[in-house]
Amino acid sequence: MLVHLDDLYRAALRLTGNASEAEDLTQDTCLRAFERLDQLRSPGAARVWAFTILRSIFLRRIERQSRTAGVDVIDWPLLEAGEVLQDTYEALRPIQDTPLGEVREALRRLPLPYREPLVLAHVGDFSYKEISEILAIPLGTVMSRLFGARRLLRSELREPARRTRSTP
Amino acid sequence: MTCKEVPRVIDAYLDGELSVAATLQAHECFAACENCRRILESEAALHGLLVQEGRAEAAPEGSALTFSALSPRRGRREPGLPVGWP
Repeated sequence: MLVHLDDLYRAALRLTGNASEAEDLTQDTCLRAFERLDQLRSPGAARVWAFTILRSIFLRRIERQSRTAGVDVIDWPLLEAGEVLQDTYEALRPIQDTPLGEVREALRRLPLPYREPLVLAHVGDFSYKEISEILAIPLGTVMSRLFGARRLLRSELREPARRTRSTP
Repeated sequence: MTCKEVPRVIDAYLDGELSVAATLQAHECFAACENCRRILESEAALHGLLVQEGRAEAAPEGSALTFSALSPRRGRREPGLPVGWP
C-alpha cells in the first residue's frame, strides 16, 4: 500500500485541487485500506483497490459538500456526441510549450467525469480496463470519456478565456 | 484505417491500447499522410504534458504522511501512548 502513497497523493491533489484536502484524502484512503485489508483479493490488485477506495472517499466528500452547498456537483452534463470532434488541429499553438501549471489548472477545471479517467490514466498509469474497474463504467465509456477529456483540455489550453465552469 | 478514423483511435494508440493489427494500420497511416502525422505529433505532445504534469509532485514529507496515515485517527489514540505510536 505504502509504495502507492505518492501516486495516491498525486491523484488526490488533482481531484481535489487542494494540497491539504489531498493529504487528508490520502491519509483516509490509507487508513480505510488498512482497516479493510482482508477485502483485498490479491496483492496484485492492491493498486486498483487503493485507487477505488480513494475515489469512493472523494465522491462521498463532494456529495456531502454539494448537500451542504445545495448544488449538484456530481451530475455534470456530458458533451453531446460529436461536440468534441470540432477540434480541427488547425491554428494550435505548440502544445508542448504550455507551462505545467497551466495544464494543472486546466485539468482542475475539467468536469469530474472527464477529470477522473484522465487522472487515472496519467497519474495512475492505469490501463483502460483498470480505469473501467475503478470508475465502475464500461470500457467504451472510459474511451469516450478520455477522448472527450483530452479534447476539452486542449480547448481549455487554447482558449482559457472561455472558462465558464467551476469544479468541485 | 482511413484518415477520418485517425482522430478517434489516436488516444488508444498513444495509450498502447490498440490491437496489434490496428496499431500496424495506424503506423501505415502515419507513414503515408502528413496531416495524420501532424495530429499524432500534437496529441503526443498533449499526452507528454499530461504525463509530466501527473508525475510532477510527490506526497509532501512522504514519511510523515505515511506515518500519520498508519497512526490511529485523531481523537481515537489509545490513552497513555506517546504521540505517533502506531
